[in-house]
Amino acid sequence: MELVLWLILFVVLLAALVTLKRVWHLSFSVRVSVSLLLGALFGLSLFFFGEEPVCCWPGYDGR
Amino acid sequence: MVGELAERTPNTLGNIFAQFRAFIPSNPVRAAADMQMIPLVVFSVFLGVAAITVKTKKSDAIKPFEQLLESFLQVVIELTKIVLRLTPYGVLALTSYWLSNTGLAAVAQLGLFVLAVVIACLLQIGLVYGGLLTFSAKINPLRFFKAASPAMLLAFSSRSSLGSLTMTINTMTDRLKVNSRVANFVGPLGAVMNMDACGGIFPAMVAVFAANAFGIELVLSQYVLIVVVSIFASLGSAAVPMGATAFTIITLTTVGLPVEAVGLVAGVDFLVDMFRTMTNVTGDLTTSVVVANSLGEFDRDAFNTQDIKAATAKAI
Repeated sequence: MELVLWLILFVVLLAALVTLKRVWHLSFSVRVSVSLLLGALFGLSLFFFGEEPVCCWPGYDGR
Repeated sequence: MVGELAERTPNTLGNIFAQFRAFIPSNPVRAAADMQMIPLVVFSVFLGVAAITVKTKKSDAIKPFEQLLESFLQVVIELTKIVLRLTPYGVLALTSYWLSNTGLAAVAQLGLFVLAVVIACLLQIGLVYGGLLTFSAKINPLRFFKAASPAMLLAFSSRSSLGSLTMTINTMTDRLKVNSRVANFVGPLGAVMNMDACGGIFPAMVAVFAANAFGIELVLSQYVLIVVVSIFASLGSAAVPMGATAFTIITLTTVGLPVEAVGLVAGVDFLVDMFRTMTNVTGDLTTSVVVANSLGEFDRDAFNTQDIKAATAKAI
């Protein structure tokens, strides 16, 4: 369940980046900088609050 | 004895020469498939020379070849545009993946990278250009930097060598007292060819950053390769947006480092680009003074006696 929530959050961030371009027409360098910031927040959230995967596909060794 | 010779480590001078020998491609198609950029560039140079020779002898025979290359260039430019459009999403995914694995240590690495690029650019301006001005042109570098400040500030804020070209040439003639003939030659040429920071410093720094970020240990021959590729890149970089990124990718693939590092530093590119452009333009200004001095086209007395504060107020 948690995995699905993280995926939904990532899709929301992608949609936010599309919005930055299509609605606010922000320049390329601004969008790249915002994507770095959003990616950093998402990645750090995943690092501190994300749970270790407990089960996965056959042959998955936890890495 | 033979056994001892056979046991030489790969990190030797002989290995460096072997690296240079590898720049000559035995099979250009394989070089392209293996992403070996330098052999490919060497082959392209020879191909270009051969094409020019054919053009001078039989101009009609070369036209289909030129059209093919022109068409291929258009397709590649379009492909590059598609990749650029996807860059923000790639940066989001790469940064998320990177930081979710490494935590705050990665943020510190990125911050150190920005700091290192800034320090490298300032060292280039202070030591290399300052040294050239002091020992070659024999002028006070501090006075030079004060006189050059409007062009340097415009380059810093605009992040475009070509965009600040008019101001650069005006600074050369009005404030650095370089003859307009030298300024009009060195200015445009420097804007497209002199890319010390974009083609030289930045790709080399990203290469070292990539090695640290991905836990890859570089050997001496790889450091030498980084230096060689960076020197060629600083000469051959085009003054176009993301030109530094293109040459960074070439450097990384040549040295065998992951190109994903470009995506990781893309987010802070706007910040380091300010320092990169300022370094490039300062290099152009320095070159103009050094060249003008060697040709006797530099008005030393006018440069030393001008009121820089008043001239700065007028320029800004």
